[in-house]
Amino acid sequence: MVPDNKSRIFYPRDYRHLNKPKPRSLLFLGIFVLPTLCLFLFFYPTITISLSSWGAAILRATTKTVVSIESVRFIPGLGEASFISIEGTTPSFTHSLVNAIISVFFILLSTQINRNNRPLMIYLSMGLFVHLVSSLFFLVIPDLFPYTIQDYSRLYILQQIGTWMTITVISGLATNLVLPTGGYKYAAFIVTVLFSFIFGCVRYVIYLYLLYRFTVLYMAALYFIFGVLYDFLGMIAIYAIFVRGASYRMSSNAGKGEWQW
Amino acid sequence: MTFLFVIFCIMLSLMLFPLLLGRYSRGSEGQEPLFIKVDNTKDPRYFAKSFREKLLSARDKQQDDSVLYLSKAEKVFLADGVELSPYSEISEVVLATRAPLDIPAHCVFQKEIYSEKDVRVRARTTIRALAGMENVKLDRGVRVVRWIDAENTLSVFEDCDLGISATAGKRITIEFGCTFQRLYAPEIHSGIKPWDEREMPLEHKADEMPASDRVYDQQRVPANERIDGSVISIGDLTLEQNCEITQSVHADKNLRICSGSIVRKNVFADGDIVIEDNVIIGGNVFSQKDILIGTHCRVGTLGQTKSIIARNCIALSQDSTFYGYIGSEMPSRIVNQELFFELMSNRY
Amino acid sequence: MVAIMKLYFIIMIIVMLVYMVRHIIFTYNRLYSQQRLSYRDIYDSDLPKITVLLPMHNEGRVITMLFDALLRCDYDWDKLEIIAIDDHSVDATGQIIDQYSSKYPIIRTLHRTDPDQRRGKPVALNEGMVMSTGEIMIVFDADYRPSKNLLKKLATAFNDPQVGAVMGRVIPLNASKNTLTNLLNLERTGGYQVDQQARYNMRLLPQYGGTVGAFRKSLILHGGGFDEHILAEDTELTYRFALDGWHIVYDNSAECYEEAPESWDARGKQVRRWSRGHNEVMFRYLGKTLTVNRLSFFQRIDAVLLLLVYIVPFLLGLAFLDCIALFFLGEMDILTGWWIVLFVGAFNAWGNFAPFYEIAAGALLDGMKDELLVLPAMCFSFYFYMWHISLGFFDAVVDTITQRHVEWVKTDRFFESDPDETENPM
Repeated sequence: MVPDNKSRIFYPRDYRHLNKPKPRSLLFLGIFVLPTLCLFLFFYPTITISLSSWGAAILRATTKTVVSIESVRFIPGLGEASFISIEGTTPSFTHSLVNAIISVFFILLSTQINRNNRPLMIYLSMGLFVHLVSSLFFLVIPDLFPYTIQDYSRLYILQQIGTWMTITVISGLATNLVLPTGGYKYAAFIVTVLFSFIFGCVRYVIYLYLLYRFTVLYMAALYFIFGVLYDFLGMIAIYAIFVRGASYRMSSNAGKGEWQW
Repeated sequence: MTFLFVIFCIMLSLMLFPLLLGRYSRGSEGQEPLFIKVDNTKDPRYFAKSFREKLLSARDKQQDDSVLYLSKAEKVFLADGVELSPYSEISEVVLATRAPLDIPAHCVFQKEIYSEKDVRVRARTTIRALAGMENVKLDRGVRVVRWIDAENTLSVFEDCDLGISATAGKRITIEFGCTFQRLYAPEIHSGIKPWDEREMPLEHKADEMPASDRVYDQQRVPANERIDGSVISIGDLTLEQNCEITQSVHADKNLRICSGSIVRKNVFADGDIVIEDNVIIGGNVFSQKDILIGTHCRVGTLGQTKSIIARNCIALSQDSTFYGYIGSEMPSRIVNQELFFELMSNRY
Repeated sequence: MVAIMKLYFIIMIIVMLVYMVRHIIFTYNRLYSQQRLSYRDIYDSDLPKITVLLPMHNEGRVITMLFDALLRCDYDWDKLEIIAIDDHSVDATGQIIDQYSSKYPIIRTLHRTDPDQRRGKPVALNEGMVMSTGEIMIVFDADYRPSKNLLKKLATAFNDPQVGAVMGRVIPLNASKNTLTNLLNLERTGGYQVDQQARYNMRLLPQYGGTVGAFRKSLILHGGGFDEHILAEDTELTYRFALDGWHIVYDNSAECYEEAPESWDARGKQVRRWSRGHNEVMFRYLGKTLTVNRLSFFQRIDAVLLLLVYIVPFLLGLAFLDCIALFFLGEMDILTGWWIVLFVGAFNAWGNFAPFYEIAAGALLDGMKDELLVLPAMCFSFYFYMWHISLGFFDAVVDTITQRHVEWVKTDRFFESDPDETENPM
């Protein structure tokens, strides 16, 4: 009987790496990522009609206006995307003026307070800037505003389909790249896609309601500041949770053997 | 409206949960900075020294002769005056303090061996680790799993496997067919007898040269040429027979130093380094791939520690001398001339 | 006009995708490839004479820790020289370095007190080099804590005649202090453990970072010393050496603690200064980088992408304004789908000097766990960096056009060392 085979020395973090992923790790892309992408790509008509029906029902119950479902051509040959059509309102002069003044006030305030250098403050200042531009637009040339609430609804749906597909691809690539073990990979991907899908749906209904209730003045802010960033936030948060789990595992006795030098 | 409110709450939760994660992280305890061993000093004989320290400290506190507390409680086998028979299997830590230790052939030692006198390990025995305070001799075919160290001389006969680290305080001699990963001693001789008859020709001291003394973009140095400075190649580089480089050599790809050449300082290559017979290198040899060194070579300088480092394997021919450290990431070996030429021809 | 705006938007998407691909390659290389051997594995009893240069301005709060750490290093004192440079300090810096110098002969002092003298790190280093006797210069900022064998690790690389400079790894000691330091810790992990190491593995262009770094004195002096008009003397050294065929080496094991900025204000000023300096180097070296023949094709691409690193956030900010303008011009139809790609690509590839998967890979390699949960907060610091880097870019443009005098401002310190706890390492 030979002595226990402790014939390896484990170097610290500066040299270690993992075994190259086997070709079968690409199966993850083939079995999960690609089908999910195809699901969004080829079934967006069904998805959007279901989403629009559901959202329209909620909006009918909560608003006193006509809510219908329309469709628009998206990808040639793959069908039309459906979206909610709801009557919106443009802001009055007073409304725009008040919003402009408040935006200016908060922008100036943000430059004065001692936390003005923080990321959140800069982010909010950018949001206020966008909102100020929107307010001034409605003050000066309200008739030239190029969108109605229906346009927003249409753009949102088209963008959201693109977001779901992009999140699918990015999440799939990122998890396949960094998470070495099967369980974490699949779980991270599935949770991310589900998160993005559910979030996209609920946000659609809520934002339409907000625009209906508070006018299209807020369209720019909702689009640029409270839009896609949060899909990304969620994806990264879920990713971080699973990589953390993988890190715990890789530090344990069970996972140590995966490291190579 | 209630349903809308519920959806609004769901949306808000999904928006805020990533930010709340950060809060959770900030609240969790025990977040230390990445650990750096600030007092760490590199020592090629680290395994043996660390083991000796633990052992001697444990012996000071020893209450029961049959147990030592090293990292944990270890049973002890006192080898003084005990005659082991071949094919024995010992699962205790072995201590020999009064008499030389003679380990018979075909034995297996599962724990460390410590001897304050000479040690001889007979053929085909397997040992986990050994620290000898005087001389250690390994007969043919001995296998070391982890490390071996001799305070004086370590003599290794043919076909031994030296595990991860083999070190000595004075000299290592190591014969054909042995495999190793790291060697360290002030003098290392490959072959039966030490060979060091050729002296480094006298030269002016090779100090730090100004930047302009690089010979850049050279592919070959012709035979019998002398270059005063360093030679750099962005591709392959060949130093032909009997040339002399007063400083160092670097090749971005493969490097070949033909027989009789002298490089007074260091040799670096991103590819393979092939050093033919009768070459003298005054400094370090470092390759991101393999190193082959022929017979009657000398690397390093007596009285100084220099290194031969390869990312992959090192093949040392017999009858060469090295001063200092030899290390590779994969098992390396001592080869004879025939095998050396075979390995060399595979590359050219 | 609208067509130009749309074209700009599309160009930025392509730029972002290029960076994204670059970082994916780096991440894959670091995680799965065999790592290139480091020079630190060399045992050499005959190391070169080194000079440790310590440029300081009002560093009285932290320098005793640095001195103590350096004096504990295992480098042979016969071959070690420390030059402490008091650069117009108004606090106790001058007195402290004099105290150490009187106690330890290997410490020499350089007091720069003449008000007519130009102030700043490049100038201080130049004067320090002139009086130094070592062949290799090692530079530390005052808030660093080198470990015992760090000097040996950095100096050993210069056995290779092709090596011009070496860069070690920086690790924030105060990582858990607040959200900012947490984020910086993650950034450093992505930037050093993955980005720099991958560039070293792939024989591209690791960047010399100006601290925890070493370089050959003769090379810099041969070129007239550091350029005193450039804030980012480290980036300038990187390109000066690389374009002349010298290697910049990154040693992942040469780790050193640093003090990361603990306030966003300090961080903003730091980033703005880095952006200003880096862009000054970009204006100077972009053309040469594209035309020099000492770099391979891939090295050249990497060198260019590295040079542009501090202009891209500004371009992204312009793209953001571009999108807003297109929005109000009614052109969002064409942008639907593209907008998400830009945003996604921007964050992926650009983010905060290292995209999220690169940081995650670095964290996995370092064994970080709960620290990762702060990663989403980087989404917002993206805007922070975009703002301050853009300001730095404008500063650089004005500097270049007007050739104005650049005033050096160092980063605020937060640590405080207790002078009563100074240890005697001998």
